[in-house]
Amino acid sequence: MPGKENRDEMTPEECRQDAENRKKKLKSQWIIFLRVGVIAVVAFIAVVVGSIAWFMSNNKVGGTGTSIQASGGEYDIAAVGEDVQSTKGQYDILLDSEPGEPTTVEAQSYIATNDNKPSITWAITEGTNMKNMQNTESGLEPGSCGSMTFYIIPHKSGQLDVKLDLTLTGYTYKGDKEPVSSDGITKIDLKVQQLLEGHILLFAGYDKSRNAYSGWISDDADAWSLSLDAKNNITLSRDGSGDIIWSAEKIEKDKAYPVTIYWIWPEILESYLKKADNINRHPSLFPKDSSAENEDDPSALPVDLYATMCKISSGSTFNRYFRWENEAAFEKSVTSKKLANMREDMNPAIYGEMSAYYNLADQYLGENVRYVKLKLETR
Amino acid sequence: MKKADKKEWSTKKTWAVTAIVMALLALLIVPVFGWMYMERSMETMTKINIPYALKLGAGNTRPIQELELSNIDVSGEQKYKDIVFCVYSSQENREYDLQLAHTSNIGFTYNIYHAAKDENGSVNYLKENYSQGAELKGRYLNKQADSKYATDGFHGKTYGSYSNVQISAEPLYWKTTEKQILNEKNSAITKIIDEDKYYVDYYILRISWDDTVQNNKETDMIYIMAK
Repeated sequence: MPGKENRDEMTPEECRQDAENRKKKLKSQWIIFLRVGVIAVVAFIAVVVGSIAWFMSNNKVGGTGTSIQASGGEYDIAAVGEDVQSTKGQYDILLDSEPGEPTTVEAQSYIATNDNKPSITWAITEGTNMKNMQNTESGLEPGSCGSMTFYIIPHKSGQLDVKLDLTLTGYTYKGDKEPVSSDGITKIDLKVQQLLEGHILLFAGYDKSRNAYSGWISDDADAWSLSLDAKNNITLSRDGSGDIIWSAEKIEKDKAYPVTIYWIWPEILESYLKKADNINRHPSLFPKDSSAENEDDPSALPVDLYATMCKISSGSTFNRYFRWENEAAFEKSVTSKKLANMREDMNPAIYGEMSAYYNLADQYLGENVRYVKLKLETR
Repeated sequence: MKKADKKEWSTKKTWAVTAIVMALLALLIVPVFGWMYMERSMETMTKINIPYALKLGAGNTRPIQELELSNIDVSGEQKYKDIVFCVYSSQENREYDLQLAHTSNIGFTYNIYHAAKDENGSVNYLKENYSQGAELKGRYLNKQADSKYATDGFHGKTYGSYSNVQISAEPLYWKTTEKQILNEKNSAITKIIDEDKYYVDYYILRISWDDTVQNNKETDMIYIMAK
């Protein structure tokens, strides 16, 4: 210690001074130690947390001979497909994700996700497409419809609940040249996105014999429940807050369980209005009326739908379902009462007035949206 | 003492700074993948076709509401009335069929002719002149051979199972026998307010009658469709 003299040689004055100095030094040392110590502790925590995260990560840690697999997903999702090349969608170049991994489950080929590839493109085949097969010129327009099937492949037997998130996103591009990568497209603005969600619809069920849909997947839908497989008690349902849940009581691992989503761009307003009674050129989206006895009926008309369809936010020229030029005229022509009346007793003159607004919305949608992305996310 | 203190302090400071830097590096270098491991996603992209509208207009691409046929006075010298309508679209080579449907309360005869905008044309409608061309090739799908009325052929499609329909309320359907094509060769081209050019086909609908038709306040409905 600098300045330390032999105690005996110090005067009482100097002794006290020395003690004071030592105390001060100790104090400042403590402060420094605390400060540095806190930083060191934080650094230590960061390193520990990082290590845990690294071990928990998706990357397989391979050893020689055996492979050590990090804790991965309880299931993977897949679509039917022989190989990656032939199942590419025509517009996959506009997506950021890559194709999945070819897998075989019970002698059927799929293109699937895995721990290394959790986000993939949907394999497009004749039975599963949105008019986007390879080398196609076609696209969506009013009246287009189809289905997209995916499979849940569990890795453990027993009970499994999977939350499904299905979204449609609209894109457009500037200039004359068609885009060739995801950099070339931009999302459409929120208002047109709303129009897209009101006109290109997703359903969980479709009855071909009655040309009728069920299980509407939308913010404007009511809760419903569909049984997919009675034997294993697998249901697909929408709860009150809009979550779609695939719930299976008894599933076996390494088996592929299908879920089909039906998409449709209804050609005319009538599809939203009519009940299904016979096979008709135009399908019925909500074939039954809602009833108190069967609250989760997937075929029922959502209770507030017609009121929602007529909602106007002042100053706008369209909502999710209709587009208008004269707000006052629209308000008079399209009311939830009239929409409901058409359901019971179709009157061509009144219907014609209202459907003009639906068609105007279709036209606007077609003019302002060039591409549509369907994304399935599972949790 | 000061110098020694300074040295001490700078050593501590260095150590503190190093610790901070190491902590930051640790946080930056070690990526966190863990929490995402349960999620999976699958996506696809498709395109929306550009909606080329096929439109019907009155006269020279005027709004269809201007097509006026309310009162026809059959007592005059001229035993026919001409109106001009058009079919137009911005899509080149768009093919379409033209269809006419009408009831037969009044004994009118309907004929459709090709037309062209012509300053010296004999047909004047909505302040423009047109000249008449050849008759549009087409035929009635459900006309009785020996009368003006319709057969039962389309009763089901029109009225479903309803059977109390007077013979003259059964609509007659007339359709072109071959598709018409909107393109540079066949059609006129017109520009409408700073939009793309439109290909336009003009038609004259001639409603004619003979002495059997009187001014008796009968009404008929007629539909013109292009698809």
